[in-house]
This record gives sequence, C-alpha cells and structure tokens, in this order.
Amino acid sequence: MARRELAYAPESPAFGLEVEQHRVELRQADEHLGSVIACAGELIAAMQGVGSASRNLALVLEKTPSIFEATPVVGALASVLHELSSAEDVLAESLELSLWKPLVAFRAEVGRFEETRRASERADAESCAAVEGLLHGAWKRKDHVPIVAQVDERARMAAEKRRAAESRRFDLCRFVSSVQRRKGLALAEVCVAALCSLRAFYAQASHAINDAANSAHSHQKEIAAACDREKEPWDLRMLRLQSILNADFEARRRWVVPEDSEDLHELLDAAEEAHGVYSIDEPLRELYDDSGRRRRNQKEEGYLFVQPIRSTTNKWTRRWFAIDDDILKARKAPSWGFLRGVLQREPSEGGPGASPADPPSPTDDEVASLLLSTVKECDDRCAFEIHSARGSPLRLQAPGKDARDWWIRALKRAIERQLGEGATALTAIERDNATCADCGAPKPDWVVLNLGILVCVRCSGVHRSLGTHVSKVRSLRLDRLTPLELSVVARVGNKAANRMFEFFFDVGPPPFRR
Amino acid sequence: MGILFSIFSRRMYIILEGRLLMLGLDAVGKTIILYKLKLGEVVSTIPTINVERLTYKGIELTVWEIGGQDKIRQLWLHYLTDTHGLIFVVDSNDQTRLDDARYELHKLLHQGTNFATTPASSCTFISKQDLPHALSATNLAAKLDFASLRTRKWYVQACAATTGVGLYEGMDWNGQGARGDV
Repeated sequence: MARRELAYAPESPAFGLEVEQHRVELRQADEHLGSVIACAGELIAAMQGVGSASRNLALVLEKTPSIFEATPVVGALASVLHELSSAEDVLAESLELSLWKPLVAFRAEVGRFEETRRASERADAESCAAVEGLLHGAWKRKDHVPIVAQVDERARMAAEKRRAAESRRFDLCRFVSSVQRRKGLALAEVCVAALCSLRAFYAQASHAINDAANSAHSHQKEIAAACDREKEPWDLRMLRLQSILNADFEARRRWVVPEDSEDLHELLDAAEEAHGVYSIDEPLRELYDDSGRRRRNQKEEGYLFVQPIRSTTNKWTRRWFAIDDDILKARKAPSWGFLRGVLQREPSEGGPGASPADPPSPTDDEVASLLLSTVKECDDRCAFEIHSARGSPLRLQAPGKDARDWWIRALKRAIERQLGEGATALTAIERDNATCADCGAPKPDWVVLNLGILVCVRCSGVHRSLGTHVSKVRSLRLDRLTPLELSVVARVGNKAANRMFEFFFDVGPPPFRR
Repeated sequence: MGILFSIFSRRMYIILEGRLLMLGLDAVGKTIILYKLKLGEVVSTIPTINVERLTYKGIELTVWEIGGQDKIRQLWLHYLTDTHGLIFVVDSNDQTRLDDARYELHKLLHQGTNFATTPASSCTFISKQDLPHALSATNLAAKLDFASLRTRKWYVQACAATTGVGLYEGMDWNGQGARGDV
C-alpha cells in the first residue's frame, strides 16, 4: 500500500483520504492503548496491594497465640501467604517491565504519527509555495542577475522542496506501514511476556498451595484426633456428673410431701437422717480434681500488726493483710467485700466493731512477692517474720498463737503453691504411693532415687542428712525428674521397697511411724 | 545523752553489715553450713529458703540460703541484687553432679553480669570433705573451671560442715569481701 501511494501527488484526494483514514485509525488505537495502559497500571497496583495485604495477614496469623493449638495449620497458611505475597511482588514487577513499560513506549511511538504527518504537510506546503513562486513570475529586474539564472534558481528550489515533500510523505507511509506490522508484533510479544509471567506466578502459587494444603490437612487430622481424644474424658465426666445429679435428684424425690398434721421440722430431720445432708460439693470436687485446674481457694486475709525490722522506729501499725495468689498485700482497712466476709464468718468475734468506722481505702500496698520470700517464726509475742528478696524484712504479729500458726501455714502453703505451680501430673506414682515409706504421712512428694520410694518432707531431711552417697533425695514438684528416674519409682514403689528393706523389721513400727 | 549514744552506735553498727547469698545444688549441705555458723550445731533439715542474721567479727551478715531444687534454681538470679558476696557450695563427694554445678555457677555469674549490682566476690565451699570419696579442693576448682572467671575475685575453701572444719576460714574471706564492699 505504502509503495503504491508513492505515486500520489500531494494534492491527490486519494492520498488525503488514506492519510485521514489512518489518522482516525491511529487515534482510535491511541485511545485504546491509553485505556489498556491505565488498566495495566491498575492491575499492577492491585497486585502490589494484594501482596502487602497478604503479607499483613500472614504477619497477623503468625502471631496466633499458642492457645489455639492450630499453629501448624495457621503457620502453613501464613507461609503460603508469605510466599504468595513475595511472588505477587515479583509478578507486579515483571508485569510492569513486560507489559506496562512497552505499552507506554508503544503508545509514545503511535503518538509520533501526528508529528510526522505535520512535518510532511509542512514540507508539502513549502514545495507548493516554491512552485507557486516559480509560476508567479513576478520577476524583479536586477542589474547584475539575469532573469534566466533567477528562473533556474527558483525551479531548482521548487524541485528540491518537492523532493523533500516526497521523502516526507514516504516517511509517513513507511511509518504507517511499520506501525501496522512491526508494532503489532511488539504488542503480541508484550502480551506473551505478560502471559508467561502470569503462568509462572500461578504455577508457583499452586505448587506452594498444594504443599501447604497437604501439610495443613495432616495437621488438621492430628488436631481432630486430639479433639476426639479429649472429648472422651469430658464425656465420661459429663456422664458422671449426670449420674451424681440424678442420684441427688432421686434422693430429693423420695422426700415425702408433708401432710398438714405432721410437723415439718420432724419431717426434715427424718429426711436428713435418711439421705444425709445435701452436699453436692464433695462429689463435684472429686469430679473436677483430676481436670488439672486449680480451684480458687478460700480467702486468706485478716488484721495483723506490722513492724519493720532494723529501722530506727519500732512502731507497730495495724494493717489488713491478704494473700492474693503470689502477692502479700496490705491496706489500712478491708474493702467492703472483705468486711462482709468477716461479718459472715465470725459474727461474734468483734467483727462489727472492727472497722466500719474506718473508711475503706481502696489502695493496695504490695508487701512481698511470695515466690521470693520466706517465713520465719519468732519466739515471742505471737510474731513471725517475712523476708523478701526485694524490700526490707517485716515482723508481723497475729492476735493469738493459733492465728499465728494459721498465718504461717497459709503463707507457707502459698509459697509452696507458687513454687510447685505447673508440676507435671504424676498421678499414677502418687496414687500407688499414697503414704510416706518411712512414717506413713499422707501425700509424700519427695523421691529417694536410689531406693525408688516416696517419702514426706520430714523424712526427706533424715534421708538427706545420711549423705548423697547413701540416699539421693529429689523433689517430685521442685525438681525436674527424668523419665528414667520416674520409671524407677513407678516400678519399685513404697510397698515393694519396704517388703525388702524392712523384711526383718517386725518389732513394732519404725521410729517415725505415726 | 544515753539515747543519743545508743542511736549513734546503732548507726555505726548498721554500716558494718553485708548480705551474703548461699547457693548450690540440692543436698550439698548449705543449710547445715548456715546453722553450723549460726547456732554452732548440726540440724537435720528440710529444703527451704532460709534467712539468718549472724554477727561475725563485728559485721552483721544477712545470709540468704536458697534451695537447689530445679524450680528454685531458676529464682537464684532474683536474689543477686544488692548482694555483697556469693557463697557457692559444692558437694565434693558427689562427682556425678559436678557438671551440673559448674553449669549452674557459670550460668548464674554470666547472667548476673547484666545486673547493676552483682557480688564482686564469690567464695566456694567444697563441702563434705570428711566423707571417704571426697575430691580435693584443688581438683574441684579445676573441674569447676574457676580459671575462666577472670573479672571477679574467687576463693575456694574446703570444709566439712558437720565438724565445722574450714567454715570460719571461708567466712573470714567473705567478711573481708563484705567490708571491702560496704
């Protein structure tokens, strides 16, 4: 087409028509390209957005607390999301390189058509002007230049302009042709490159997702199995609870309805005698005992006098002390909740007179962290001392000897609770060896490793004083025992050991046995 | 006047006090050492955290003695603050646990360096020297790798808590350390 058009004169209507047609086509192509580029840019931005969003999601998923126990599955999703987000970034980048930039360059070249056309038109106009100038013949006589020479010069100029115009037009035609052929090829290449990068992305994504899905599937099966396993004991507990409740209900239903003539109190007494006092607490406590959760114990609190040791003032002050999990707290007066507890528990013991006059101060004063403290009994004034690793030691005075003992017991219990927290369940060993091997005290929790027995804390002192070459003592709760050591205790046990070591010991109970 | 004097002497007295921390694996004889120093007698003990104040050559020492069970071992670090001297007790008769003892001691001293106030000195009692299979103090010091403790003062004292041999020599050294610190 282009070569054919070379013959067209500049004013040829056919040429003008063709050019106009190409111009319209190219403008349409330009608009089309513009929208394509805009859409590609949006796609790239969306890819980047998806990448960052999935990265955020992955980060949030990775912080999933371990309580859910589904961490492997969530982790699989997170890792896939991580991989996808990085792959999406790569994809966005490659799309930008392979699609967007070539398209922009392509559009810029298409835009050059107008420029070329304008240049060719300008060349045409110039050549026309030159020919017109030649034909006009408004020759001005000049003395030293002959007319023939002037005409020659004009004619040469017109021919030159004409040649330039022709070459411009040729350029235009060639440009149109190249746009139609070569740029079509370039566009196809761009599209192929984009498709290739998309294919790579999806292949990678599907690979990663397959892997993760497989692992997540297996994890999910594990968790489901664990759920099933856990469900069983709870179902069992549920059945037991129902049976307990049913038994209780049966017991109640058998209570007869009082008739008018009978005395209600007599009837109630008889019923109580027959069925026992209504106590659902005890069986329920047994039921929940092995579920491993710590029951909220009874509140340990009360008034004590306190004196700082080793300060220049020996002033005793009265404070309300309370053991709150692992902290001993002191305040000027109990809060109303505490006070109500006091009133209900000991209505006779000066409770009402104790402190309604004092305004309850809500500020707690932490005295000591029990985990790092120790309690010592003093000889006089019903007092005891609390030494804490941080803060100064305190001397506390209870209202009576019994109260002092009760406080010391409570504090020691709280400290032991803190130290022994999280001890592994050793139910089998503890069940088999319910009493101390030497003195028979209940709930022994010290292990003699080389004998494979359980003893109480007092007997552990005796064993320890024999020396580690005779008797190796460890704690069930405070020491981390290896499975091997535990298996020794599990296989030997108190009974078997005593059958052997106390075989000839039949002259009365051993010295410590109570 | 008497009151003034008593307050004054009390103040003077308070200045000469130190805090010692006695650590070691379980059943190495820490409590026995403490009560031998305090009461001059041997008691059979239960594992505990004990605090005793003893006056030794005019210095009032608060000795914290912390049990060596695994759970309590993790709390050792918390007692290090404001401590003037560390007494680490090793059972010379129980060679199977020397590695444990070395690990715990070096871990504690390494972690302790992050604290602002750490004991500058540590004295190690090598206990139970009266028993038949006891290792010598020199031998044990080598096994416990004291040579790697370059930045602090250390002292190894062989002792036997039940008889009291060597306890007061070690306390002399500790007392000097506490006095130097205060």
